[in-house]
Amino acid sequence: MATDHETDLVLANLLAPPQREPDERFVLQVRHAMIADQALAAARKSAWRNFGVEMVATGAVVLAFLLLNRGAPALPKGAAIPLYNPAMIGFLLLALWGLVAMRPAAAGE
Amino acid sequence: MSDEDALLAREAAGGDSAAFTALVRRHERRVRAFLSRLTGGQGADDLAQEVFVKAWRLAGDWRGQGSYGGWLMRIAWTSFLSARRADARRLGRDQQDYKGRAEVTGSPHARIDAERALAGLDERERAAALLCFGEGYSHGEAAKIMELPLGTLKSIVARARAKLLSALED
Repeated sequence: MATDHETDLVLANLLAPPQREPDERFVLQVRHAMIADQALAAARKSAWRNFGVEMVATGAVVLAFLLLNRGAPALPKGAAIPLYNPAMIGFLLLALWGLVAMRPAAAGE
Repeated sequence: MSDEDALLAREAAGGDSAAFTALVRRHERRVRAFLSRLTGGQGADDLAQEVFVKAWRLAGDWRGQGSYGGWLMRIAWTSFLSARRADARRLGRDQQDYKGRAEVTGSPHARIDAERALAGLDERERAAALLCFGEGYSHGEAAKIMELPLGTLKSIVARARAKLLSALED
């Protein structure tokens, strides 16, 4: 009859991890995965930063638009919107910002 | 060995990828064997890679309490459970069969014995047996790794031991 200690030794031998040299291929795979993970984290950080900047810029443009619009006299009902009024400056700013934000180089940053 | 681990882990926490690579080289054998036996070999290496990437991401969190190997095993165990839950959701089933293709040591007879014996255990019993018998962790360390109360861990180990012995005697 085996003692508890002997039994534990049998189980330890049976379940012990294999004895071998480090697997350099696996180590290299992990290294590549670490580099990819770091690149992904940096891209994510940059994307969030850009998103934040764009949200602030959008807020600023909308605010400018509202302030410009507030200064403009109210148009009579049915009157044509004049081309040269403060609100149009707001639209122009918005369009310029949109063009800059959507240019291909900006998308790739 | 653990002093060297602690030194490397501190360097890795400071962003030294070479130090972390040295830690991967030192621990991959045990982490892969543990996961391979837990999963029955299915996707174990992918999971092990994920464990090391996670450990690299969390390198700054290691505070030197307990062994670095134990900390890695804890990440391995929680990663295994997450992967298991994701698989169960994907496949729409609760239990996954243990296929018994794990990396095991020793002669072909020993391999077959280990596979057969492990196949009869549930995943918690398998993990507890691998940690306490195969890896030589104390009950306290294994309880920390598996995030279980000590008493629960002890009863799981006792159940696993009895099942393993019964399988080996058959």
